[in-house]
Amino acid sequence: MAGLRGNGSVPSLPPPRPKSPPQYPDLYGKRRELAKVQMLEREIGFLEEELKSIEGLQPASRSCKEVADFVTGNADPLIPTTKKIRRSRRFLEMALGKKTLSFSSKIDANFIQSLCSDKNEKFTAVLLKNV
Amino acid sequence: MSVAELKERHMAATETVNSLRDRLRQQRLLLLDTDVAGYARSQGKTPVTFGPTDLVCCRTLQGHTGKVHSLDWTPERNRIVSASQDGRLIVWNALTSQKTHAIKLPCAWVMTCAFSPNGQSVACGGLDSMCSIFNLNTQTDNDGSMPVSRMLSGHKGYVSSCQYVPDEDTHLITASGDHTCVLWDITTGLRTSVFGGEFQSGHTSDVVSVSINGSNSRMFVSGSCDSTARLWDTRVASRAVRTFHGHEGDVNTVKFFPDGNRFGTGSDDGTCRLFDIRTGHQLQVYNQPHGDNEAPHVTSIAFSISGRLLFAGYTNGDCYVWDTLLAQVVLDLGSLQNSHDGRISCLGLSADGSALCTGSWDTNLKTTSVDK
Repeated sequence: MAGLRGNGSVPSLPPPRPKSPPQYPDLYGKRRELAKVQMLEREIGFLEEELKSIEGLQPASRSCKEVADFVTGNADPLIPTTKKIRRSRRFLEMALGKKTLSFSSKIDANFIQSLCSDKNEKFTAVLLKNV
Repeated sequence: MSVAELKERHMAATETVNSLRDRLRQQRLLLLDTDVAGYARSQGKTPVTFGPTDLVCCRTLQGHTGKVHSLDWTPERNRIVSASQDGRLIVWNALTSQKTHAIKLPCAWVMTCAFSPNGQSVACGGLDSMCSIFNLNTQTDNDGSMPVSRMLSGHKGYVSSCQYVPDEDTHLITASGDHTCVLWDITTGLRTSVFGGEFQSGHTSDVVSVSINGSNSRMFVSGSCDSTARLWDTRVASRAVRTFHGHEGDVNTVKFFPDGNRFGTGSDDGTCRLFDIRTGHQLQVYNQPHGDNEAPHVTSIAFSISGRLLFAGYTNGDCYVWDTLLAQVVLDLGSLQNSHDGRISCLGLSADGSALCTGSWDTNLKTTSVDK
């Protein structure tokens, strides 16, 4: 590569001579590597702790029961309430006998719905008791 | 110690970690005597059934001109905030579909948004690596710009997810591409705690989702591209309380189960899972076989208020309604009339559990509820 040439009044600079990297050790890389090792050794400690804590842990079935109990114990506005009517029809069918089925199938849907409402629970219980 | 010796120590430690993880996996398998579906079947439970018109789309919220990335409901009063690729936050009245605010963001690359507990502010974050807070009582300019009331800066990567601490308008938690979660004090704009990070025990890849426990707001879970979910106690930032393995791909979405003792996850491996926070057990996998085709990734999940239903949005536009007890898909909202035309990117339940809102790459949001 041709050296830089200035005009007559400015002395030209010597050509650039790239230098080799200095010979001192890569401390930054070493510290980083040490930090990674320390983190792994810390992780080993956590994993050993977790292994110990597993002894005597309750089996999954207990947690599954808790989930099922919670879910079935809470109302849900996104689960359609018509299911209640279908269940009550089957319940009525069982309680009143199959002959009544043809009769109950003529029962107005509003009547069934009214049986399902909370206010009429007692009425339904009395009705079924007297059959 | 030389670098070579350090590298050897590193290899040995990695082997030990892997071997301990294997042993943990074996020990946990011995305790998995059943899953939720197995237990529910043994109790004679039958799946929830939906008629074809039981769940209907009651409102379509139109106004964004780009993909919807995130949405959040107010804790009370039926308002929704959404964030879109069009660089705007829109606040909607979910009952009337009216827009009350359309905020043009200083950085268009927004990924997440959240409503404050009192409904007066919204937070958002994205590729600018910051979380911006807007006070909704402030006026917007003609072009929709609104001054930022607080800028939370400190993350070294994008902000993927944010949520206000329940009942605390002054604290929120962010998840970031810098592998950390941060608890912020909005009043001062400072970080109260950093969970994970370069020299702390935590996620080893981008954190893309966060969910705070509604029953105990000191606990939150995070989901990450390192395929794990982690449970954190906000009082202990130095390490996660527990790490949950099992997924075979990025954990894109995490959400606490309504009882506060379990949480759900959704992943690039196409499955949703239910984990127990006290024991660490994986209680259930929600997986729909897809034959030879690669399973679509799960983008977002939400539980119904009783926990009986798990709503899951997928990259192929499906939105499955899972019966959480029987681990069966009981409805695909994506197949209903008037459903979204694109991927469902986000979803969330109203505070009273009566409506589900879904956001999509088709630029719309839709609310769904039971047809009375």
